[in-house]
Amino acid sequence: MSKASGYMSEKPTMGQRFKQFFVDFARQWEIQSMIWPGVIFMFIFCYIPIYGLTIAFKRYTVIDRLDTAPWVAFENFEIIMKDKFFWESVVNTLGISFLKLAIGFIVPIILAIMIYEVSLRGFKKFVQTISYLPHFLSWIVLGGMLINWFATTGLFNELLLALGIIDEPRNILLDPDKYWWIATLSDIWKEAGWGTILYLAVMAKIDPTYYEAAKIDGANRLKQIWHITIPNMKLMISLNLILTISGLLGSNLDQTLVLMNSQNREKAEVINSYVYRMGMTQGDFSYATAVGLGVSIVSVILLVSANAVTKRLNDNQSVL
Amino acid sequence: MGTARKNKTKILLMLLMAVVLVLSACSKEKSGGAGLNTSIEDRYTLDPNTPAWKLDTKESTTLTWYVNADWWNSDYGNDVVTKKIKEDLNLDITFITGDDTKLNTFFAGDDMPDLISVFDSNSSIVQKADTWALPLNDLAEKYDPYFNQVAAQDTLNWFQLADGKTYGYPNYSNTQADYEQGTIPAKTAFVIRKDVYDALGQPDFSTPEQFTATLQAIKAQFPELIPFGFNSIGTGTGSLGDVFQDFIGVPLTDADGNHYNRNLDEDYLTWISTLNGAYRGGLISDDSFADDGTAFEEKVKSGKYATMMLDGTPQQGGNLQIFASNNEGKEYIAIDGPQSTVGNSPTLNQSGITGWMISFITNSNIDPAKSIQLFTYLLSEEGQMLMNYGIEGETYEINAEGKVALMPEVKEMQLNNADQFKKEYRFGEFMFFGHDRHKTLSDDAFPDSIKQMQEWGKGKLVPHFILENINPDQGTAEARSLSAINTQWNTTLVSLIRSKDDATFNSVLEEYKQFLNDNNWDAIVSIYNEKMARNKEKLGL
Amino acid sequence: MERKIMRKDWDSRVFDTINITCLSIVLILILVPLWNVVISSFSSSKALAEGGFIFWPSELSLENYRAVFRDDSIGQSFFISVAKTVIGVLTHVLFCAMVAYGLSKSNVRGRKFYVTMGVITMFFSGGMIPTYLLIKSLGLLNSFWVYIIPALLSFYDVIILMNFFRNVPSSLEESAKIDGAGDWRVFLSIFIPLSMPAMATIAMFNGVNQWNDFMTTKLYVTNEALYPLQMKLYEIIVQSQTQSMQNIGGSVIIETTTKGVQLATIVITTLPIVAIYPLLQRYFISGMMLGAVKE
Repeated sequence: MSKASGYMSEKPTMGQRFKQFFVDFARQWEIQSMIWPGVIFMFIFCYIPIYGLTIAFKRYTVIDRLDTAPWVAFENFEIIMKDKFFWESVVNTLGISFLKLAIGFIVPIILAIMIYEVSLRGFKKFVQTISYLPHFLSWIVLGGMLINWFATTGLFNELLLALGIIDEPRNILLDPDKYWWIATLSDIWKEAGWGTILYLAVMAKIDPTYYEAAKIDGANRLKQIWHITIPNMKLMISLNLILTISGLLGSNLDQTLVLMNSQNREKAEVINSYVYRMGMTQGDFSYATAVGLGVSIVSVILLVSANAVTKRLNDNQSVL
Repeated sequence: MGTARKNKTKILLMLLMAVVLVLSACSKEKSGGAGLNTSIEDRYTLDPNTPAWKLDTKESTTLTWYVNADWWNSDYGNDVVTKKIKEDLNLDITFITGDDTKLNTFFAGDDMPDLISVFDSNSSIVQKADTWALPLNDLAEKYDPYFNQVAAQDTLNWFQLADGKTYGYPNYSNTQADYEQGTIPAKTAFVIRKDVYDALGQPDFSTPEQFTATLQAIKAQFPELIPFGFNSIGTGTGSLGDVFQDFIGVPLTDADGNHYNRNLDEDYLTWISTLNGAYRGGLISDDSFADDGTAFEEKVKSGKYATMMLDGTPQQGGNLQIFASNNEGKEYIAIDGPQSTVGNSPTLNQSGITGWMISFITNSNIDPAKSIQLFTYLLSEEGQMLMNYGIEGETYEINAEGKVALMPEVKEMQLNNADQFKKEYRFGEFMFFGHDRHKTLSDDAFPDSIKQMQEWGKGKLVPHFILENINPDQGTAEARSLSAINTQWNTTLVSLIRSKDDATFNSVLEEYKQFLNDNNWDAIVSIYNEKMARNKEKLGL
Repeated sequence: MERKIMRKDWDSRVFDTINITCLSIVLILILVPLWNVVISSFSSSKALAEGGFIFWPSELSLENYRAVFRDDSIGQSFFISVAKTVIGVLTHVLFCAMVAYGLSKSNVRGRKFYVTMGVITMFFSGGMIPTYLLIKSLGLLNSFWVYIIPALLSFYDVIILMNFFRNVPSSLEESAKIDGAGDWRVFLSIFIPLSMPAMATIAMFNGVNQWNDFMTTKLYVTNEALYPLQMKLYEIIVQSQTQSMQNIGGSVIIETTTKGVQLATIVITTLPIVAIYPLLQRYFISGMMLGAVKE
């Protein structure tokens, strides 16, 4: 509050502020009544079970109950922090996630714009529909296909041999250095089309008269995209960006379990596959919960930071 | 936004958390049965020579049975096997399936099913069964003494906990006697395609030099086949780890009867080096290391491998049969294959005394009497025959050779309509407390494709009891180290075989040895020895 | 809105050619493996075992599909799937939209609190065990409503809808309010129709989730009559894997490979979605400005 004197410059007291709050609240009862069911829902289904996070601070195995499991405070976290294989899996997770962010984030945007720019209705619909179909393949099936194709007698090698790029077939699934690329590119193939849906929904709301005006002003197609289409997608791109950044410590367990083998493990083991092996297969729930809790906390920090950055780029408007 | 509002948000959030914590402190009520105090006074009187289920006058009971597996078929009452159980015991069973998480919800929610079956003998569920299950000894004494006549004493001893009582009972538990009688069929073999075998004049594979030379000959004569194959490696060792060690007879313990690291055995490493040589010579395909289970099965079905070190012959039986039926004269046959370079005999392994599915009667069981009767029933000859072949005179009969033969219409359905067969008859699938000796009663128990392989394995099986259940307890530092070591061995084994030259081979091996030292190996070995000593006691050795 | 491309001049034509060429390459990259999946599901197990084909197997067969449809309870499970998807989507979209609308008004008191609360739920979860106990104490175990009620709200969807609602020009709301409409009226008759692309997108995401979900069933439902299609298909796949594992009845020759059945289930599951999507597409286009107000 400014110190400028005047008959209105008195700071309201706590009491007055609370009163004002409730007055406003009551006045907005219609709108509030739309939000409160959501609040109640979240309370029941998300907040009540949160006590399960205490498992991270206990020694909890299959036969335990929350009140009988012994309390071990930060021991689980200590074990994890000292585990060098855990940190190796963090490196792999971040490596793959960054790669997916660098390439996989842009692809759906470009693809969506390309689809949007098509004028032939039929072709447009066809491409759209086909593009999201890979999303429905399960990793077990897709992984099986990749194993087939990357075999020394498989498609991939046949192609490279025919094109003269290599003279001897190699199974790249056995090569640790190629794993990050295999994981990233196969994931993009699977999910890029699905990722265009949200962007296309945003683009559907763009007023076509803007394009007409731009055309008249002499802008070519690329300029039109740059100055009209993309700015309109800024919010959705920002939202996706902050969510993707907050998910950097996550990874696709199904994909990992299928593509990981004895030879590429050093580059393929990610956080959740490691936790799966160390925790779940040993009936050790506390291990998994502790890692999950740590990852959640880091994710929220990433989210808030990413949000602050995108807010700056969006004229101080937050997507949250 | 002013700090005032920010504080308000924080306060409200904290209030929210507080409410949640208070609510979560609410305790649950206990439920469950009367346990060992259930009375059978008005139902029947004990007779040690008659199974109690024949005496029980209780009208009907329903029990819930939890099986800790996704794949368990929870059907009940619609097929011959369960229909008869229902009839004989006046019993309805509701099956629940799930995984470890689901299992834990029962413990956490204090809502235990009546019966539980699990598959991991090393988990705390089995180790701490005295905290949540009823002792079978007491149950037998109180409700069904006949149980002691059908349960194997060795097995009961094996599963005894610190308080001297046994809580769980397994299936496919093979005792020393079983091994000696030779009723257990072998499940591993070194196989070769018959056409390849004949074309090369029935060659020898027994020494490393002969092994390599023969594979080279195969490659020359059959370029479209991969000379040597093996089970998919995954996170384990496929058929090149302990399976191979058993094949060439690496000792189970050292001279003093203590733990012996078979992975570092000289004989075994000589053979691994041989495989490495074969790999360098293009006799082993890289794809074999990347294949998953499905890809391996496809190779079996299409006969892609000229020879294979095959583990789990019954599991591959169907695939081998498919290949055999479509390729007359080329079917896979078992031969002697690689032998020990120091004169050891094979020590093939099969299901041990631990079995692979252990069943318990829980503390909250609503009718322990009926439950122990069920166990007795399933363990008895009658129950076993029912589960494997059905009802004599109705679904099977004893033929002239004294073997069990399914009735023609049943066999017909088994061959041509597998799904219908499962629904109506369900033989061989309902295998609580099953045992291999019942499988050998019939010629139909195993597909033709593996019969010769089982024949080959006769006399080569050796019990590995002393090595069972010796892993460190779950959740301990040693258990975690062991997990890391096993993962490392998984990579090491394959890297050894794929080494480009001898220098690489040796450095990979050194790396593994170093890894053992860096990861608590000594502590793990002392735990091994401790548990092995306990095993010896239980086995009376 | 449709992107209307006016007067094809040289620059436009070049752009279009490059665009369509690139898209066609993308199409091929996607179609070839997909086609392989579809045609493999129609292959016999013999052809699948041989492998090595891309476009046409050595032997076609309907056996994989027969293996799936052999179970007569498939019809019931299909009905359950449709019911849970339709009811689930309608309730979920309306619920999320309602909450999102409220949160899109920047003058709503407590807004920051609500949003923070919601974001936390996106990252922190107590885990499966407490959730199971909660569902149990709510009496939702083995009830059809376990598919609907816990799925009512997804804060991610709320955020998306919230952003769409914010983009609706406030002038529309103001003029409606001047005419005497309350918040609910404004919400239902203005915001929803104008945000159809977003609503349709959320509906589609949620619909696909509901259709594909079987974890809910696996954890909370044991009554087979309530099994949706996905659960049945999952069972069929697992059981076909088990046959080889258990060595069922010895001489039984397993007709179908697990892989073949898996492929068939994917085709069966995806088909309805592919069929429905074109019908939903018009919602992506609708939502035109009603009585456009020039800024």
